Amino acid sequence: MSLNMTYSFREGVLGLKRARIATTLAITIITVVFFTMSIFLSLTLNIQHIIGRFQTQLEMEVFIDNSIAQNRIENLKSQLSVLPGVEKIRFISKDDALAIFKKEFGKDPLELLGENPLPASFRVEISSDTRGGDAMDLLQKIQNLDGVEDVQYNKRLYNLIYKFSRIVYFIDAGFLIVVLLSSTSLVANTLRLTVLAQRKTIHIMQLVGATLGFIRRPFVIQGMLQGGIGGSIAAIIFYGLVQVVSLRFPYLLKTSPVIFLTPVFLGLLLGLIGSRIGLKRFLRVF
Amino acid sequence: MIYLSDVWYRVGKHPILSNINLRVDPGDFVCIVGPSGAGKSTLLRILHMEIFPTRGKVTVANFSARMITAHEIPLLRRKVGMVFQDFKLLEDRDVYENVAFALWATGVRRKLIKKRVFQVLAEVGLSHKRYASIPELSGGEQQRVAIARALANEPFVLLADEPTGNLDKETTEGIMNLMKRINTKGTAIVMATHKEDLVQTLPAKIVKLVEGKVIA
Repeated sequence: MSLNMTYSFREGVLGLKRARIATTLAITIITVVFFTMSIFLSLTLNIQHIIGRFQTQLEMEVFIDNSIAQNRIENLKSQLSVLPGVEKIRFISKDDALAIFKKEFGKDPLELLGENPLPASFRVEISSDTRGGDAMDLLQKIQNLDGVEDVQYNKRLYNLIYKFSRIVYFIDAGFLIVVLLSSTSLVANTLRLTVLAQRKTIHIMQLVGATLGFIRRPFVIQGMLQGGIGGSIAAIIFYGLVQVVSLRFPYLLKTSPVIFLTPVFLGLLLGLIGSRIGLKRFLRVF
Repeated sequence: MIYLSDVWYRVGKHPILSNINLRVDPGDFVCIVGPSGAGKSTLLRILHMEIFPTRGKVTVANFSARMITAHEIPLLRRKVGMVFQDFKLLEDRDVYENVAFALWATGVRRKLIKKRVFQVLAEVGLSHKRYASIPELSGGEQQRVAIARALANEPFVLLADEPTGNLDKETTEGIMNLMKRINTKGTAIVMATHKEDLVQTLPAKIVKLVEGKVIA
């Protein structure tokens, strides 16, 4: 590390100590905000996971036109299997459908009608990563395929899940914006206080010929340390919480290393941005 | 070196400096004398490019006040040392750190910093107090630290704004002797003072300023 960087880093750490109260307050708030964000991210991940499991359980039943030939059914199957979002396809022949009907209703339509009126169908399982909107697109595509008579699926439940997942995304996005704005402005304001307290030092630095970059660097390091420390503490507390919850609900909780690393990197990044904003108005050549 | 031609400085419609012409050559000792409010400090701040003239031409070293950019100002200040009446020292750092600060801030290497700080502290007669804290020092000693800091980057000119304004007669004499010694080693000095008697004994070019105008 060059002398300049050593000096900047030392001054950055000293800056945290000099503005102790403002720094402690900023780090505490950043920790709380990032911890809440981590819980939210984790909840979203888990909700996504649950929604995904729901979606795989929902099947679309694709009824085949009674008049089409057997070789076209095979063709239709291969057309269905390449559609995005299709996980698994099961063919239910006319005879299979009749057997199911008999089992479920206890009556034989052949006796009543003299022929089997039930169409053959495909039961299409949807992959777990398919979102509500994509499922609607898939439905549309299947309906447009040649040889498809009708498609049945639980539209209301699907729509409900789709709407719910959208609400979760919106809340997530809103929360993320609040986190970004509040943390950046916190860091910026703490640094303004530090800069004000360090006015004399900054003035002397300018008098002896220090460049603005050199003067700015310790404050930028200070801002990044604030954000980074706040983010790291949040990540550690959240990790502890996840360990405790995992013991009680080992199969329910789904986490990802990204959730633990996000607050740390986001903290550093917001610290950097916040310090640049905080210094902009206060550091000028004079 | 330093060249001012028809320099004016106004605040609103009120002129602080009017039609100033001045030339400072290498090794010169220039004293700007005049009562409080005559514009002495304003003139030094213009030379240090803290403020810029409303009209006229100012050249310090190779930097012109009209052309200089924000990035070049620090480079100019490394060539122009400045001391103040209130010393402007960092009270939370010791003597060594106050002087070294000017070298840290300008990116000088650690080995050279130590050597240079000891050298300038010896020049101002404060080697024995290098690790003393600032509040422990007398006014005269604090001004010597400020002079050492101004000399650290080997400027070609030292600007001194009322350097003895806060000091008693005896201490003032010591500081003036130090200024003379620095000047004989080749550093030009531009000193502003309201004490006219102080400059009578100096081998200096005297510029008298009254209400922003040079009268002698």
